[in-house]
Amino acid sequence: MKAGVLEPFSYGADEIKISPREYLRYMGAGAESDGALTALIDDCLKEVKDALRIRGVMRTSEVAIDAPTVRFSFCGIESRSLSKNLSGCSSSVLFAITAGAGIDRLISKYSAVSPSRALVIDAIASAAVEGAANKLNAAVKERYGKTKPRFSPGFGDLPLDFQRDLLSFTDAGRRAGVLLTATMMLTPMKSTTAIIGICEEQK
Amino acid sequence: MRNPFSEIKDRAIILDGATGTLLQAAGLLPGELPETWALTHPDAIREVHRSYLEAGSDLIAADTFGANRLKFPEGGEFPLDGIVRAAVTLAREEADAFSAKTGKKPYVALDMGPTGRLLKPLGDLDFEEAVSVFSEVAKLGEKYGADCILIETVNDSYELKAAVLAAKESTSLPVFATCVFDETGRLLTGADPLTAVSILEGLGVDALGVNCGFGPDKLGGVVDDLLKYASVPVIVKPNAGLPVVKDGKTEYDVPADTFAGLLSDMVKKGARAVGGCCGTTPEYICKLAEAVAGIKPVKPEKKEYAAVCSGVRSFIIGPRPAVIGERINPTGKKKIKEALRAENYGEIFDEAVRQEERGADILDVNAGLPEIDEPAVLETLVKGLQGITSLPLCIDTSDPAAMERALRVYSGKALINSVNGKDEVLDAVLPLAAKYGGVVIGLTLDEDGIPDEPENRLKIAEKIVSRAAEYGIGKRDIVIDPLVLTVSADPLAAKRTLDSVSLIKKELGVAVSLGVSNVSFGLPGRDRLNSVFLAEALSRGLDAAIANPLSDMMMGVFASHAALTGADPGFARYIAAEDGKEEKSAVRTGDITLSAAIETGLSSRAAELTAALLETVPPLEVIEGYIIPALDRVGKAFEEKKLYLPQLLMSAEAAGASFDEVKKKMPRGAGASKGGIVLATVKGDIHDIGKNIVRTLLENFGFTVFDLGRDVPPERVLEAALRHGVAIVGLSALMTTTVPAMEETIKLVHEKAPGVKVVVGGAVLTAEYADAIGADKYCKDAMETVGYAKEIYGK
Repeated sequence: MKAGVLEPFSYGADEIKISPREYLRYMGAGAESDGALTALIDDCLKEVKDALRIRGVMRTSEVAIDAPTVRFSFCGIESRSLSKNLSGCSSSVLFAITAGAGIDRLISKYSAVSPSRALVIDAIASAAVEGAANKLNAAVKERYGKTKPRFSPGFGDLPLDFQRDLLSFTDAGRRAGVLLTATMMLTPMKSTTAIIGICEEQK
Repeated sequence: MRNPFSEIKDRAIILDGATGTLLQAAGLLPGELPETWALTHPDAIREVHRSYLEAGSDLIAADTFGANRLKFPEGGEFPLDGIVRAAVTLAREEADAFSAKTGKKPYVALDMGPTGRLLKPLGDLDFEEAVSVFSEVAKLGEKYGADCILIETVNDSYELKAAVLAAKESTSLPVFATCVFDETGRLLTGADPLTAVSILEGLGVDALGVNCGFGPDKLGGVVDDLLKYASVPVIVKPNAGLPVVKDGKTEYDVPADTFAGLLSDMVKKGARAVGGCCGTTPEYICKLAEAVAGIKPVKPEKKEYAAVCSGVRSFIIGPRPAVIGERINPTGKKKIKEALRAENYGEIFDEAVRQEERGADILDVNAGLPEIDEPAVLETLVKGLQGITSLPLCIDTSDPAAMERALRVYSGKALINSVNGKDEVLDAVLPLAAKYGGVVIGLTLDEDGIPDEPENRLKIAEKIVSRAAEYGIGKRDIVIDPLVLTVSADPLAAKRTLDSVSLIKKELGVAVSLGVSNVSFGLPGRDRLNSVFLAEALSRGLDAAIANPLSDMMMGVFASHAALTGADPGFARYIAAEDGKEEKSAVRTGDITLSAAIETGLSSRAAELTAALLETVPPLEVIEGYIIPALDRVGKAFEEKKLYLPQLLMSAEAAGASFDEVKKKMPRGAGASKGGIVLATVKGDIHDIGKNIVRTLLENFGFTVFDLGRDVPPERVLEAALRHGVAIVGLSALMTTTVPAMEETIKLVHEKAPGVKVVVGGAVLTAEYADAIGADKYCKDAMETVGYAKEIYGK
């Protein structure tokens, strides 16, 4: 089975969309913010944008599905939900993306001195990672045609341990600085990984 | 011990090219660890080495890049010792065979790549654990015959420090270190080239540089910076550009000829060693060797700037004088004393951020209290501070044991405060500066005290400089502090100090610093006196001052001096300092009550209104009549979903600011705590935003919180619960993978501290789940936790 080349990439803060709906939800705010909160959010948005260093790496792999086993070029994994997600695909894109270590430092700093600011920055940063993943997803669609919804380790019955294989396959530590803790958490904290199935008929 | 940089002097040193690229061509599968090939495919590894030697490499790196116990744990399929022995031996044998054939004497490097885990506080790997992982490999490399150690592809400055320290500490081999810079010219964790150079030279590497990341076409800026700042030889080992697929095959977009041409230009500018990383092959190395063969190497110059740095950014001392923030120091500060005693560092972190926001360049950190374990506290404090501020730190202690522990775990190159002319002190502290790096502050006092005459202070300064030279510490890494005495005790004290500044600058040519605030001790209008003294000292050439950045007057002097002496081109700092003042006064507009300020979350307004209210209303009444009712209304609105988490927190912070004002007016012991609670995010879990929210709310409602931070082992939770005699322990976990650690902690607390209640929360938890792991209580949010604490403490 074939694997593609490593494709590292980076996005500027202005190239991604940070959705207000998403960050308001993440911070546990109502659908609309009031005066003082709006001012805080505006301030934090600026700070997050200054600290963002979005980097990622993607790599394609052929896939073969024999439910519940999904075989990639680099390993096989048992997962009914991933089998279902990738049904009808013979190829996929795997990627890791991060908002960078600077964001984590910003959150740590405000956790110590202003938890409300830490909460708002944390939420905006999560929305930024989501926005970056959306941008990548759109690029993948543009290149390969119709795709499946992106699927991350930990979704459904896809074991979290799959992070290890995914990060190793994409050489994410070296190319994007995305690493794992002993407890399978991604570092920097504001990072995400996913698999995007490429629909066959469209290829 | 053989070092190519001292032996090959007539031309650039040629390193090897990629190993992975060649092994993939030979059949290495995606996900397969290349280091295992030293055992499973020794002939393929020999072939890689042989082809690079024949292409012209002076130094080949053994196949040990990922060989460490985190990737090859004990009891696994491949023993670490076996891998390193096989890999180094294969390289050695090929080098020897090549030597027998050609008479050339190639070098064999032990190759050390990153551990694959991010260090605390960004990740979960402890600094000393990382040092130990690298030490183990370094020792094996030396044992099996490597000539030198090449640390490569590191993209975190803290891990870089761990690797270099380990290599230097556990072997006697020359150490070279190269890191990965991205397109913004920084490491992934933020350090720029100057910062990397400062850390690496401080630790005593024999050469440093850049590898991987990009092709030589995109590394020009980084290489220029490395050459500008480094005094040791610079290594450049880039990729063959970026990979592209051509006719179904992976190729790199910088061809061998272009690669060789670009690198030979870098050699002309001063790079001393060149080679290749991902995508380069013997063809690249061969062309590279030919291209640089006739170029005479540039000898690296000793640079004269003085820099300190954190793990992220640097500060060059001069021409703009440095503001060293003095406020993290228990002397005369009740809050800092209490924070140090209780090991509850929130107040200290506040102080750090406030000073940073007000324009401090470096932060002094002093934890000198007689009744505490200073080495342990200082280490913890430095670890905590480097997580929340990117300013370089000035480690301030007279205890050499505390100094060593702080310098060891510090992620940057610190200002070391201080040595003096006493041999006992010089002998204790200078070796630490030599080992860990740092800029040393030398006080002009000795066994006979502080001399009156500037000439005698100069003599002590000269002694410090010459003793430092014995340890290889150059003048640029020394700052002399000629000491300020109180003018109220001796009217000539300030004049003597100022004359000493001039004299030492003129005669010795080192940077000079002062702790200015001492001058006014015992007199009224201290801020004004300090400011004028500072201005006088700056006009004599003072390079740095330990001062209070929260003083507008002092900061005004610094900013004005820089603006008037051309050290602030464009007046950016001067204008920013003035803007900062305006912003503060702008908050004063609008007319609202204290309750409204708290309920809408306006912290500085709440503090001001509280201070005004305290003029007429007794402290306890302000709490009971204004702050608590406002908080209760906000809490109730949150429970009724009329307002949301961010607003709740903003109100909590405003109430906190208000409490701080009240506390200033309260007699000691009044407004006692409603009870203590230990909080922690469990071992293995690095997410703590939820726990911090709970902390804020609990503190607001009058509870004393002992926040142990994140990734906290069960034993520490138990120890804190027992020591502080609390009735409640609160634990947080975000993911299913860390719930077992939570369960373990609950079990330990229940067993060893019966009666202590454990309340849990976090994204993955539910009431049922909490029950199953033995928790006493599950709380869905911070307000519910406050309710539970009130219930347990019966208030």
